[in-house]
Amino acid sequence: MSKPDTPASSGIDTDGASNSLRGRARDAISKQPATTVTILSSLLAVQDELGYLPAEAIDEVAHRMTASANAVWGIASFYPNFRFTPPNRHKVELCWGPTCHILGAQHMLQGLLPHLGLNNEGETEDGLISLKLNTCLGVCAHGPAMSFDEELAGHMSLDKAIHLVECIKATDAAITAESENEPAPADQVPLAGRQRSAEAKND
Amino acid sequence: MTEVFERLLDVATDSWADLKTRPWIRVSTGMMGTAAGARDTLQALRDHVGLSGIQVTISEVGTTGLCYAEPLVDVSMPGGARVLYGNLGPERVPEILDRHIKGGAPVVELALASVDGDVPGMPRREDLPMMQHQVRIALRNAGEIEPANLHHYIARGGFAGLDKALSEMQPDEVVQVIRDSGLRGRGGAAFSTGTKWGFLSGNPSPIKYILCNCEEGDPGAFNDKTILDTDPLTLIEGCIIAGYATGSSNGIVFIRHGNDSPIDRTRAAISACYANGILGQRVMGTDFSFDIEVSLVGESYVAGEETALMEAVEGKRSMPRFRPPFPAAYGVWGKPSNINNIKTISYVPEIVRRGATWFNSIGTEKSAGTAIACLSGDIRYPGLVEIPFGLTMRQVVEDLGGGDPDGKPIKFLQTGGPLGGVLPADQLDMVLDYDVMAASGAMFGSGGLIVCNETRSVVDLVRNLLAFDQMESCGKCFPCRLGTSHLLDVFDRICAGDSRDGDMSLMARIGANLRAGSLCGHGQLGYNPVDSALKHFGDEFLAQMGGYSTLPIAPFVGPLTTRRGAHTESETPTAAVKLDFVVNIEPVALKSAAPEAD
Repeated sequence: MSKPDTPASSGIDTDGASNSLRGRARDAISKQPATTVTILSSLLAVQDELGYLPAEAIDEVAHRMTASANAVWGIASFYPNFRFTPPNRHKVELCWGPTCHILGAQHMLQGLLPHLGLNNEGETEDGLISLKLNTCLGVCAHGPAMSFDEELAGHMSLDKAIHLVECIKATDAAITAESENEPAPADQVPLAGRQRSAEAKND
Repeated sequence: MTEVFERLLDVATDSWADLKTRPWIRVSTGMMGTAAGARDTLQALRDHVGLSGIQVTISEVGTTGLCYAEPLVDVSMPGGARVLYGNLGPERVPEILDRHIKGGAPVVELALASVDGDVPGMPRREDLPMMQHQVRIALRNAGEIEPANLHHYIARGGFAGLDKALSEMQPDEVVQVIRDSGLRGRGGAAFSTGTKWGFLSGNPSPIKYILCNCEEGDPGAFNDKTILDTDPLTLIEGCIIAGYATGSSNGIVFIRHGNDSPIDRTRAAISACYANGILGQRVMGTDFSFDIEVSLVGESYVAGEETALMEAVEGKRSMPRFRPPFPAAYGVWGKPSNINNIKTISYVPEIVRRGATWFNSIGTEKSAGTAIACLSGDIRYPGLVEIPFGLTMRQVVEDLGGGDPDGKPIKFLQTGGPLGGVLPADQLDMVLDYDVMAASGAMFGSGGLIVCNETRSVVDLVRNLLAFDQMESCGKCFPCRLGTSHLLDVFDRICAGDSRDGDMSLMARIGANLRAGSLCGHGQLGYNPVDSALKHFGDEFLAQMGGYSTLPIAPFVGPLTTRRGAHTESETPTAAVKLDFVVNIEPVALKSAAPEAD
């Protein structure tokens, strides 16, 4: 899944950004693998591409499916996995299903929320992390479970969760530094992705 | 035997034999393995193998069900032993490669078990506590084959059932075999599958749908997803047989968006079938044609209900329809449809291949075959087991699951998903059988068994289930929409130590309204968790309400989003559209209304 564009810092080129959002939404709608294309499948395709459903996407889906914008919005607002504002750069999910619940998900959440400066699921102010509560991540045998940028992590604890959040922060900072033409020395780039969870596991 | 199958079988047999000429390493990835860190182990394996230049085949397989031992690595040597290594982190990979692959001697101290033969110093797989009593039918290929690999699947008996049906049986005979086998729906309702197919086969419409339901929103259940993650071809073969038996034209595999690994593997398996003449026009060279596609749905528990599922397939809000008309007469896109759970369909290939009598001889008289249970919670061996009906819950939880990891007494099981109930420890001797369980008010449902030890509060767990039920209410029927939220409010107060006189009767009244006034099971069964918890643990409720309970109640933070629109007005992308609408239309409406007023 590709990440949404970082919003232009000046905010001047809104037309351009909007056109590109519209274009990407249109591409996502037309490139669906399913042979049966519906409003729901189109919305899911756009959400996968952009990470959220901007007004342009609702419009494009309505146009493609010859439905009204209200009909499309009616379907989009029904499913809680759709969002209508751009997400932050990284997605962290925490499972609150009954297995994870008895194994300590609420304890993790109560510790993680202040660490992120949040009161509930939502976006951190620094634009780094979107926290989402998931009804069941589907890996109950490894509960309590979380996922970091769509990668499942089982047998979690508050310490591991905070550690992985800090890894995301460090990786993000390194990537930002790199994109400012200052490649970080290889040995200082924090472990990414899968290696990250391995490291946390061994703690 | 059809020519297509004969050719495929030859190629598959050769390719399977060829695998045995080199060391073969199978790593259990997919959702379960990934959550346990199997991707690190896999990466380490690939890195080390790449560096050392050893000739080995590395395969990604689905989970074996032995989730407690993941990351699980399965090493087989040509002519030698096959050994499972459990809890194998990336740091132990070089040792396995050096000693087992290069040296030819299994690393006994890291091994979990041997398979198909004895290795001194380690148990055999079938002697592991979690493998006892297991009979694997739907999960027969779990962890054994690459999930979307047609050759592996065929080499292990796959598509022989479909071939038999197509070349030796009339559609009606297939329906009769399924009816005789005693197979009942595994989604929870336990309706006879053969009878259900009979409804559809009688319909003469040229377009009919077979829907395979893998919505599986139940927290605590992961067996449907796991079947698709570990062996999607079983489901596909079963779906094609169902299509042939009922004269259907299309199959739809319905999966919740976000379960990436099962979705990808199912899609890959479908493509492989199309590429080999097993799907599409003229299945295996016969006159029967059948198409299957994957349909994704957003997060919605109610979408697992059969009529709501059809709405979701059509791309709408997943709200249940009125019945009648029933799906067999008017289903998805208005065409006759049949909806089965993934597990149900996954039994079909083996039943057709091995016969109804074979299947019927497993399990109990009225509940034939096996049940697939998901063990999680306070349990030593969490994971997936396939056991014949007739075992007791105690055997499942204590023998296979190993009981509580710290040996604490088990207090209750939460069964049947969020609309199920609790089964207290003193009822663990209950026999696993649809009718026995239903008679005593317990539910097996889709197979999630959440084990709770004596330190867990029933009140706390039931509140979690109620929070789920109110969030997932689709909102179509107001007794459910309002009742589930009202129940949760009462529970929140009880948990906060702020209960009132009459709370018990208030909850009972809400429960009665839920049951009487809801269209689908979500509302009708929504009071179940409270009802069964009150029945078995009434004292604990009194203690909680009286303020003398010693069991912990977690401060609860639930999700903000519900289907009733927690998204604020400013967030709605159509807010602007709505505004335009008002500005443009209102004056016109006023003008046209004015003359009539005179």
